Amino acid sequence: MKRDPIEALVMDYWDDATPPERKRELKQELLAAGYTEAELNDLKRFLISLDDMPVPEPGEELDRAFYRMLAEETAKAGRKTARNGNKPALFWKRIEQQLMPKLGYAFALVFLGWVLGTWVTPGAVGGSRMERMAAEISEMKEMVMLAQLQQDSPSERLKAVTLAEEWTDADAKIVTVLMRTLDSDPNVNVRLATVETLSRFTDNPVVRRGLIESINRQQSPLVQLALAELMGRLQEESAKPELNRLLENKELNYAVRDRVSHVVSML
Amino acid sequence: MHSDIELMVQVREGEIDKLALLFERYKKPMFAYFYRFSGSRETSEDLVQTLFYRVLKYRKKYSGDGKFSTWLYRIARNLAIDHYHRDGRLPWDTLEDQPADVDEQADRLLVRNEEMSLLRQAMQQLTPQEREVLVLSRFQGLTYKEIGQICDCPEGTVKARVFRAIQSLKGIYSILEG
Repeated sequence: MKRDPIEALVMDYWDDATPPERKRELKQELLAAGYTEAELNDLKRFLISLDDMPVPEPGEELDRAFYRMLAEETAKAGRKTARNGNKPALFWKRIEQQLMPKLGYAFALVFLGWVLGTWVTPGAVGGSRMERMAAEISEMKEMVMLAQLQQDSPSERLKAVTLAEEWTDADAKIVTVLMRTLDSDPNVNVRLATVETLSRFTDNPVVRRGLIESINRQQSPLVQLALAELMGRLQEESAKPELNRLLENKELNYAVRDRVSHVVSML
Repeated sequence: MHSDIELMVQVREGEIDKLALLFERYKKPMFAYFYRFSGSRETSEDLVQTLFYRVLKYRKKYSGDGKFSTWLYRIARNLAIDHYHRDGRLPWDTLEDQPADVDEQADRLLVRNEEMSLLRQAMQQLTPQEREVLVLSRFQGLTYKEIGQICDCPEGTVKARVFRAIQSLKGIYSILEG
């Protein structure tokens, strides 16, 4: 085994954790190598005096710069995940593209049969099967989304939230579920994606109100930032009291405080 | 409370907001690490910011083996080397004067301040390699084994380097003291 340099033994000799017996051995070795006890003690005292060298605390600018960078990177990552998360949406699109013509033919045949049937059996109850089918597909998507939102995996929940972007006009049930996700999902990326999805339904006053009310329920600086930015984009003046309430929070992140103050001044 | 490794694994898996917790845990020691070298607050803050940016950038490469701090210090060390290659000097080659503390009137404290000022100057005159092992072992509280992992050298070599660094520092300090 390669032996440590003699200088290395000094560090073991000075180490308080070294057993006394081993220290005695080391001392003998070091004295034999030409070191004196006074020299070693003097150096140890000097080493200990280094502990008094002061170090200032990092400034607030470091925090600001870091949280700004983190918000940007999270937004970037969110966009990337959302693109991957669009896979279920693409799946449905493909199903629609490939299956719908076939379903159309099938429906045409059924419709023909129904027309013939009503001729043969006057008074039979009719109805638009096409509408019913479209409603069923929509319902099915809704079910998939709701089921995905219950998953433990954040990426599954992220996909579900992204799937909801497909609706041009979300119904009350979807809005309620998304609002609940925004307020209570443990994953910040899911909550950020929910803000993004809900921002598509801001024509709905319930959604606007829900987003405003959620501002002070959020703990993550990133979600607080996303909501404040959204209020700025929407020029939502009625969000001012909630944003001001957020500014009263002494624990509020510096970067968020800067941005929220800016948004409030713009409203 | 989550361990450093658990948090970094979560960051690696895409929960990048968890980096904020690691930042809060390590910003002061990492700032101190760079400051001990550079003596410059501004350079140290920039380096800490860049360090956490690199952690994010290389998160997929984090294996979860060993201590998180060792991995972090390795990145910090490489960062300092990159900084050197870019600027043609090590970050610790710019010594900033410490503002005098006007409240410290007592002679004893003035003497102590002078001693500290001399020590800082002496630190700047060590070789980068000497300064590195001294800062990591004495100020950052890393074990010799951890320093060996960071610097890619055996534990015994680290101990010897630390001792030589102390000897050099003491020699330089004595000359500066006159």
